[in-house]
Amino acid sequence: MSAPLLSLRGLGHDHGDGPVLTDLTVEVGAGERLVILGPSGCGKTTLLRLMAGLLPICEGQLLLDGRPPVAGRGAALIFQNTRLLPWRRVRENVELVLAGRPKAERRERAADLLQRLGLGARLEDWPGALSGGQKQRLALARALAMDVPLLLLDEPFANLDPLAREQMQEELLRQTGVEGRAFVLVTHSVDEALALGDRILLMQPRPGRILREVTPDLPGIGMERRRAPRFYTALAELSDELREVAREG
Amino acid sequence: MKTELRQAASDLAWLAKVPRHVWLRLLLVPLLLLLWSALAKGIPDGYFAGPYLTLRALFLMLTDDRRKLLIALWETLSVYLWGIGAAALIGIPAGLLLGLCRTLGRTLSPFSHGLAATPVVALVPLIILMVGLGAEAKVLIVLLAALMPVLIATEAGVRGTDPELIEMGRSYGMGALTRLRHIVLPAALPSLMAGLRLAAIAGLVATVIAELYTAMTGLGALLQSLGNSYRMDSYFAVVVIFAIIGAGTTGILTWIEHLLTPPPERRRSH
Ligand SMILES: Nc1ncnc2c1ncn2[C@@H]1O[C@H](COP(=O)(O)OP(=O)(O)O)[C@@H](O)[C@H]1O
Ligand SMILES: [Mg+2]
Repeated sequence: MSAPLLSLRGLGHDHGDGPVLTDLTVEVGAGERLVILGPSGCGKTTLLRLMAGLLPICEGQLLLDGRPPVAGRGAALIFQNTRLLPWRRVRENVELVLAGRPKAERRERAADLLQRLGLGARLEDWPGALSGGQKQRLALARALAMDVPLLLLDEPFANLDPLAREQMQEELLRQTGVEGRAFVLVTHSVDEALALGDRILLMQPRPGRILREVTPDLPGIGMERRRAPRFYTALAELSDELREVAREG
Repeated sequence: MKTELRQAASDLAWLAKVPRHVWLRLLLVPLLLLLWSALAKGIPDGYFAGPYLTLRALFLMLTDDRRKLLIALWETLSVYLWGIGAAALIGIPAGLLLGLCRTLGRTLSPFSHGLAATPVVALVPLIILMVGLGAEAKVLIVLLAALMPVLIATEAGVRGTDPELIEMGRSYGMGALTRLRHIVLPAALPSLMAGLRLAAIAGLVATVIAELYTAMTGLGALLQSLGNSYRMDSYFAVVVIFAIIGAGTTGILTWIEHLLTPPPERRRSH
């Protein structure tokens, strides 16, 4: 078997006031879909920032493609709040990620990605004029523009209404599926975890650690899974477990 | 007939597009003139001049054969514009640097604020000693007065940039220059432009100080000699010119800010 895309061994973190994460050991293979599920404050955002190379690694080991992660290479992070540049047009928000390539190529690639995500008619608009769902699509397009094998998503759809959320989940599966990209998605929504994860890591707070790994015994992925009758039994079970975890922590 | 009326109405459509504050501004002009002449009635001649006498003096000075006023205006404007231009040229990059290198900014902050608080008059003897009484000295005085407002406001604007956007830039592989151009500068622009406007005002005051305390030239010297000979109508004509220079410069700066601000941000600016 080839080396995993992402590998964590005994990873921990401390912001300076007690441990936030301890002893995380996980591997993610190329094209795999990992969901990390845990209550608020269990260190999910911190974990993603470590994976993105935005925080220094002080405890344990974290390797992305066999090397410690470097910000701006190897992985694209989609933030909890979209963090679009309000003073740059939709098109420019994507083009900025493609720095270093010829201008014409950047334009073409950005337009192509936005087209794929249903924003083809909004290229010249300002991000402020987009709806919440469209802003998330733009953030996804920007992440896809980074030519990297791993997407990191921090509760990306938490602020969307249920219908828009389902659409975005399908979009994420479609776009990453086409190019065989892996993703690590962090959420506190059991429904989202069950619909999107090949594997689900259940996290426990104070300090953040892995309680157990769940491999959903459900057919397909996304909407297909949701339609399976067993989805709701699994949802109820996993929800109970999460409630338990939140209470203990 | 009807079509002509309609044509006339559409010719005047631009009137509806004039923003409300412009109409209010035009309304303020006669009000101010009234206030001015009321004030002039209460003050004995020789100390003050009303709007009519002032504007007449202004017209006479502008059309005068010896062109004393125009020459003085030219002298003043060149000192003033060189001074605030140099302040912007030095203050903006220095403010960017101090805003981006936090340690440097924190280290120098008491000194830059100390210099900002020092009245420029206090530095005049030193400047004369170093560069003499000529134009260089004047430009230097204006520069010193205008530099710190630009620098401090630029630094504050840079430091006010949303750290989440900076982190986004870093995580999407944007280099330092790309981040500066597309994240930091747009975020700092409103503060930077406010600093420039303050500098334009401080610089104008400093221009008059420079013209009075070094070799006497320009509108400052003209003001002095008119005041000494109690020619109050011409004196206030020069005062009006100063007010126009101040309002004009800040107006131009506001217009530049408008051009540099992308449409979605414009609601928040002037
Ligand atoms: N930059 C930081 N400095 C200090 N403490 C932090 C910082 N970021 C997060 N924390 C703390 O770490 C813990 C985990 O936060 P976070 O990773 O945001 O959790 P989650 O995303 O699961 O809600 C919280 O107690 C939070 O207060
Ligand atoms: Mg979080």
